[in-house]
Order: sequence, then C-alpha cells, then structure tokens
Amino acid sequence: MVLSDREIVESLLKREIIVTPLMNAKKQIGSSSIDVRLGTEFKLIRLIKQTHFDLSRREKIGRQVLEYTEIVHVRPLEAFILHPGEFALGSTLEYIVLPNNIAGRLEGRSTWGRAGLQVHSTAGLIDPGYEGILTFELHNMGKLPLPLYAGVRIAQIIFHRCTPVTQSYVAKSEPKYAKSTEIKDTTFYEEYEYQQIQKLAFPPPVQ
Amino acid sequence: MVNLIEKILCVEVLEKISRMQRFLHLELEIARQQSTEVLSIFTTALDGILDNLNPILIRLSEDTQLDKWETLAIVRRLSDIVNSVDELHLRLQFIHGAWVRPETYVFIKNVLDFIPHDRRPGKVSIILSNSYSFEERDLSSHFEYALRATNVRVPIQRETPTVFLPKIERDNPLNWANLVHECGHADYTGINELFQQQRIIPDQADDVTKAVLILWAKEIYCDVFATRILGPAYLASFATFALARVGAGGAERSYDTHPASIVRIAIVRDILEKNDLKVALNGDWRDYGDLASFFYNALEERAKLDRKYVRPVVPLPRLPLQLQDFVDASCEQIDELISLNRQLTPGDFSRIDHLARRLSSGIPIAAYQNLELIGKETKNFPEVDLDTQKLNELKEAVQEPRALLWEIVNAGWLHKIKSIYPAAFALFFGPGDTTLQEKIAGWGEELEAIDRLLLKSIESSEIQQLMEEM
Repeated sequence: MVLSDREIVESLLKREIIVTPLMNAKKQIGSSSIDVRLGTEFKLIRLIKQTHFDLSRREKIGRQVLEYTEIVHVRPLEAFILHPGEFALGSTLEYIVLPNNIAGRLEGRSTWGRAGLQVHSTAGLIDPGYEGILTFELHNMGKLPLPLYAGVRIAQIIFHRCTPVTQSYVAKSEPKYAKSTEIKDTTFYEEYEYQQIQKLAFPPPVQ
Repeated sequence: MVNLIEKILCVEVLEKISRMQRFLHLELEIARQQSTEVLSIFTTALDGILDNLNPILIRLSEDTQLDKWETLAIVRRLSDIVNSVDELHLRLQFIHGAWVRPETYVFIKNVLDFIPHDRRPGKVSIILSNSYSFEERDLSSHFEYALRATNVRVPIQRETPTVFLPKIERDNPLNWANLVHECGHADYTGINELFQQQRIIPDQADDVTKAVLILWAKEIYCDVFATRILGPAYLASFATFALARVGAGGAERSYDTHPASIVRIAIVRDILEKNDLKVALNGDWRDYGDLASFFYNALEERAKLDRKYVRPVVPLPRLPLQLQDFVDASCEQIDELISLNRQLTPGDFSRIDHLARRLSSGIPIAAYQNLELIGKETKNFPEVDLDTQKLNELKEAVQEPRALLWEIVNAGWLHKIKSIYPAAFALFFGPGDTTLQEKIAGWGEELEAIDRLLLKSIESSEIQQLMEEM
C-alpha cells in the first residue's frame, strides 16, 4: 500500500521515517511522495587502461574498481555538468531512515524526466530498515548538457507499507551500503556468486 | 573515572596517529600506488611511535590510580610522543599532498559572514601545512619579504590572508575551531581600532617588549573573536591542542608571538562564564559540569604539574598588559562587529544535546527536529478530518530548521565526550586480544565515519541557507 501525504506526515511526526534535512516540507511532501534533493558529490566513470574487470586476482579487482571512477565534489552554487549520454553516480542531500515495515522506491521527477535526465537505471528499491544517503545512477538521455546543482529537487521517494520484515537492511550480516554518507563504489565482486566463480574459475596456483 | 585525564591524553595522541595513517592512505590513493616505498617508510615510523605508546596503554589498562610521579612520567612521555608525531608531520613535505576539502571553504565562509561586508576580506585562502600548527599569514607580504632576501623585488598585491591547516586535520571539523581564531586576524580594521582606542601597552615598556605585547594583544583579540562565534567548542579544541603539550611546560610557556596557552584559555573560559554560554554535560558526565569546564579543568590540573615540577627553559615573563581592560574592550569591539541577532545567547544551547543524540545515532546534523511542535502535533493528530490547512500545519511541524555552524561543532564536541571517548577507552584500555595496530585501524574507521557526518552536516546546512534565501 502506497503511503498518502497524511500517512507520510504521520510517519514523520512519529519519527518512523526520517528524511533529514527536510528543508521545505510544504514543497517536498507531495500527495504520495517526498521530493529529495541532489547532494554535492558525484562519481564519474574514468577512462582507464584496463580492458575489463580482471577476476583472476581478487586483490587487483578492488583497485580496478577504485580506479574506474573519479570523485567530483561541487561546491554550493557550482554546477555539475552531465553531458549527453554520460553516466555518473550522485547522491541525495538527505539522509534517510526507514522503519522495518516501510519500503521505499526512488523515482525521477517529471520536470527532469522531460529534460532527459534519468535518476536511476536499475536500483530504485529501498529496503525496510534502510539508513543512509541514496545513490542516484544519473544518465543524461537528452542531447544537451544538463547543469545540475546541489540542493535542487531531482527525485522523489514513494513509500510502501508492509508487514514488519524479520531482518532489516542494517541488521543483515554484511549490509554493503548501510549508514552511508558518501557514494560507495560497486562491490559486485564481493557477492557470494562471484566469490565462488573466482574460486572455481581461477583457483590459486599449486605451490 | 580513574586516570581520566591521562586516558584522554592517550586517546588524543592515538587520534593524531590514526589521522596521519588516514592521510597516508589518501596519498596512496592519489599516487595510485606509484610511491608506495616512500609511504611505507612513514608507516613504519608510525608503527614505531605506536610501540612507544604501548607501555603507557598497558599501565592505564590496569585501572589503578597513578601516583604523582607516575602521572608526571606519563604526561612527559606522551608529550615526547606528540613531538615525534609533529616531527613526522613536518616530513609530509616529502610527498605530493592532497588539496583542501571543499567543506573547509564552506566553514571559513560561514565564519567570515560574521564580519560586516565593509570590513570582511574578499577571500581567505587555505593551505594544508606540513608543520602541525594553525596560523594566519598575509601571504603576499610573506612572499615579498622572502624574495627581498634574494635581492629581487616583486610588486605583490597586499592583504591576502591565508590560514594554515595541519595536513592531518584536513578531515576533522572539530579542530577547525582553531581556524576561527585565525580568521579573527583577518579583521585588520577591528584590531587597529582597538589599539587606537585603548592604551593597553605600558608607556615604560621598551620597543622590543612593546612589539611582543602588540602580538600578544592580537592573539587575545582573536581568542575573543573565536569564543563569541563558536562558544565552548573553541575552548575544547584549543585545550586539547594545549593538553597534548603539557608535561614539558607547554601550557605554561609563553612565546614572543603568543601568551601562554593556559592564560589564553583562562580568558576564554572567563568570557564563556560571564555570558553563561554553556553546553551542559549529562548522564555519566554530569559531575564534570559543562563542556568548557571539563577541558579547562583537565588542562589546569595537568598544568599544575608543569608549574610545580618542570623548570621553564627561560624564566616566564610577566604579562604587563592591562589584561582585564583589554579583554573587556575586545569583547565590546567584537560585540559591535558581530550583529546583535548573530550573537550567542544562553538559550541557543538548548538544541546541542538533541543534535549530539542524532550524531550518536549516525544521522547528519545539518538540521534539527522541532521537538516541541512535533510533540504537540503528535498529541493532537486528527483521527479523521484533515483539511489542507491542517495538513500544512503538520508539514510545518516536521520541517527541519537549519542547524548553524557553531551548533554543529559544539554538538560534535559533546558527542566526542559522551560517545567517542568512552568507545576509545573500552577499545584501548579494556580487555581484548587484538593488537594495537588492529585496534587503531578499527578506531580510525569510526573517526572517519564521524568526520563524514560532520562534513556533510556543514555543507548541507550551507545549502539549506542558500535555498532559504532564494
């Protein structure tokens, strides 16, 4: 069940949901969503020498991922220009806390959608119990560069009530992105399946 | 708590080491593994310094009261270790060096906003310095002076105030409180006016003494400036800086450029007391009073040892300034400088505890919740009817007003006392079979997390201000 404006306000009052800083509640709380703003940090994909992520050496792949992206930090009132076709990671200015019985979904705002901006490509679900900033997968699908400023309302969160989950996001054994205040790089190589593939496909040399 | 001050001193030294490790790690990332050999020499030296600290940690883990000779030995040894970290810090000149964080500029801009437009310097530059010291210089004059020695005269634009931030404090907003003092130096007009109005330097003083006293008076003016802007957080930051140097007469010694730290900190505390600017300590820390008293008493307690047992290298000069008159005049001058609606009042401190609690939950503190309004509206939440007007009233209650810079920094210090010190005590002085290197690595991650929270808070608060002004 999607939460209405009344239910969103009630959850904020009871401090079940925390969206901070909630700068302008009248503007940000819509009939069934809360608008969120763009933060100051971005991660751009860098042109590097590697031909692919090399799974054969586990210690090397973390370094490869680190080198794959470049942090760009814009100051207040300074534009981050997202060029046509370009992909970058961004984040919400707001820190979000969800209770164990509310999930969230990150969506774009139509104002920006009409300009060709996508705020997420694939990962829009926010698990119940999540805490942290949200990461945007920004993509300029238009034909003109887009000037993006920290503090602009760029996306919205829609909330869904569910029965309380048994294990919340932060209580998981290794929550990868919990309580984050900065954009984290992908850690796909730490996923269970990839670790098994590494073991089987690239066994350590026999001494 | 047994040996509390010595434990705090240890934790402060460990924090410096941890911050240097982090800076070296950052360098490694910037260099993309190019200069690992150079960096590993630094790392090895830091490990050696840690080994020197280990016997002190073991002794303090025993949790029995130190006698006065043990106390003296430990604080002097810690002072040696701080000096060794400072020496290593100076050698950071051998590696490339990261740049200043953007949040530092936001911090400085917020401080300069307290100075009226017609007296504010156009821009203050920030440099990450190799020597562990916070200072301010007019860089243009400095260059001109340096080049004159080479017989080359270069016309240089005047008055380019530049503040220096030690490299290992790059990510630590709690110690940026010291930068507020340095920004006070940029108020050239205020300082000059004060000298014109006040006859603070005794007529009978010779020229050399007069020159020293003028420098001392400027330092005190800037202390008053920082205290009126940041409140107790300035004292906390300054006192921990001085505390790390006790044991070798550090807090008691005055220099040509600075009066003794203990004198300056006593002045700061006096201003806070007179204006009733207090961040109360509660819970387990209630007996220690408030934030400023806690650090002041810790420093005074240890400075007493210096006074009694450490012979000064040169006899301490007396302070022949008309000190109290000067401090009062500085306060008046700064009260005129900072517009009335921006001056700290006792009532302003009511939100610090709420913000510190948010920090301990891992939530950034760019804004605070209006708990009073939320409480009232929660109680009266309508069962059935909710028209647009009522909904808007409720939205107003959940809206978060911006936390100001001084609130963020004071809340950070309160959090440090209430949560970070106890966590560090448990880790370094409690039971456990991990090595000191492993412990400091884990603690470094915790420090990094709190730094990030504070940095994000400072920047988001600035953005909120801009949004509100639109």
